[in-house]
Amino acid sequence: MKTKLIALLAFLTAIIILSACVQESKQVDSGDVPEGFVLVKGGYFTNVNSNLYGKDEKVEDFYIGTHLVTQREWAEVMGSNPSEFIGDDNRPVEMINWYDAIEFLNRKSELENLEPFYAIDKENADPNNFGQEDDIRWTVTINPGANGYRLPTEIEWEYAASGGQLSENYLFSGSDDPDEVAWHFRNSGDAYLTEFWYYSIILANNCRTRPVGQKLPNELGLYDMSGNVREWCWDWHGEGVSPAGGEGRVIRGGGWLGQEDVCAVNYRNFLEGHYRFNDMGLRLVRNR
Amino acid sequence: MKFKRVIALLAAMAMVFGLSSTPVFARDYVQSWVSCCGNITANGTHDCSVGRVQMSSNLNTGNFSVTWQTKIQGRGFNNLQGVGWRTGRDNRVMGYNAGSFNHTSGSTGCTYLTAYGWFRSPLTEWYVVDRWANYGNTTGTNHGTVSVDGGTYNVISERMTGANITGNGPFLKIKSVRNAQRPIGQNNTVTFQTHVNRWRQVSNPDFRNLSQHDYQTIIIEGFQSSGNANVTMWGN
Repeated sequence: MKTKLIALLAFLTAIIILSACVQESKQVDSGDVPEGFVLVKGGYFTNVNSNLYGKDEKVEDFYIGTHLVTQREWAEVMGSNPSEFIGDDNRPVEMINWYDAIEFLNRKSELENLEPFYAIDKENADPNNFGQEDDIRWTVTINPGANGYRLPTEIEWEYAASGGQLSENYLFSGSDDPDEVAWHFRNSGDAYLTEFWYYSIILANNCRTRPVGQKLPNELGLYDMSGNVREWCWDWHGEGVSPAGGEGRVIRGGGWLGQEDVCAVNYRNFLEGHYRFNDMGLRLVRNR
Repeated sequence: MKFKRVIALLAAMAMVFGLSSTPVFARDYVQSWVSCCGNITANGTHDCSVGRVQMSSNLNTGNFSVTWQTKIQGRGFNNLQGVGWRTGRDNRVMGYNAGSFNHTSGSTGCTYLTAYGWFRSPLTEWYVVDRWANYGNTTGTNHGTVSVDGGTYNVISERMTGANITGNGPFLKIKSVRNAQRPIGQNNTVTFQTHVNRWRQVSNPDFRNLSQHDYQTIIIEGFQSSGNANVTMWGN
């Protein structure tokens, strides 16, 4: 009897250890993860709320920043802070357009002796840019093998926001309750707004960005994927995944100004690349 | 629930048999107000250096009232109150009775009563403006008129860039502005279907596929003005 009990305990212990190892191997790798990043293990979408759940779209491994790029990080690279909501440089940088983001990423790569991920041609307008308003229109191409900083692709952003292989099928990045994980128009000001969205109310309520990392992280340890500022992605907006051209660049995640439904992991939007707004920022990504 | 159904049934019967003008209550009100006094609340009085506002609302009856006074011009004192539905509908008929609507600051500031809401695709802010003071010339493209609810409205659209329900960015705005102001103290209807049908026919093709309602309300807004208003609204 005693022997059977010991065998059972040993068996259960083995199961627990094995289970932990399986869970661990889904996400963690022994490779060197850059400081401030997590390794997102690739695979197919597992969050049932994702646009690409059940689709034949596989994501490769990549590193992504745990936080939005802050005003301090931006100023260290670019020499100045363009943000409107100042006073705490741990707030996310905003008032940057897509081209500013690309220049920042390359410059940061150079400062850290990494190979820039982007090649920027400022002389020739991008023929794949079908936007009506964009007055910059640089042609930006990628160096796919470079180890420098880059923007997430849309599919990478949604995969990471929805929890990757550790997804618990949340509607927002890390919760079904947007207030737990996201700064949006209701909770980003002095009082919690229960009323309908109205810009005068939002102004009067002093709604604003907040220092990064104050809400709960998602399953991968990523903060503010659903709120605070919206995030520029690499892709053109258009049909399918990563179209060759489009009217503007994909933006993902909600911000302090928008309604909470915009914070959902599956909400898609875009802007022409030249726009600078006080609810637009970015997050760092690197190839593995 | 049963009690609400009985009340609604009685109110409907009263209207059918002409025994009373008691409206059928709306079922899904939201309401809001603002002043630039640094305070946000649904009801009560707020008094500060730039303005004073006193508001009350009853989501069960659909009644809201507001009295406001701008003290310092140019300081952005702005107030708004309204009730409505979290999700709009093309075929909703919004009823209201403005027991009072007074703009008391003469040529200073503006005040208006409007049905108001958003479509999500394409992202569009819409107005059906029924009564106003100093509303002024509306900028934008004029698309002619639409006749409904006993009056004629000018239809005007505009491309905007700025704050909207999704964040900052481009969006569309379209308005129906009534030619003659609607009287106070009587039951009025806003037949939204007629407006949206007309909007979908304007020359700008972007409006042809207006769809995916966000909220749908009736509001009073006073911008750097003084005045008072009392409105009861209903609908289905």
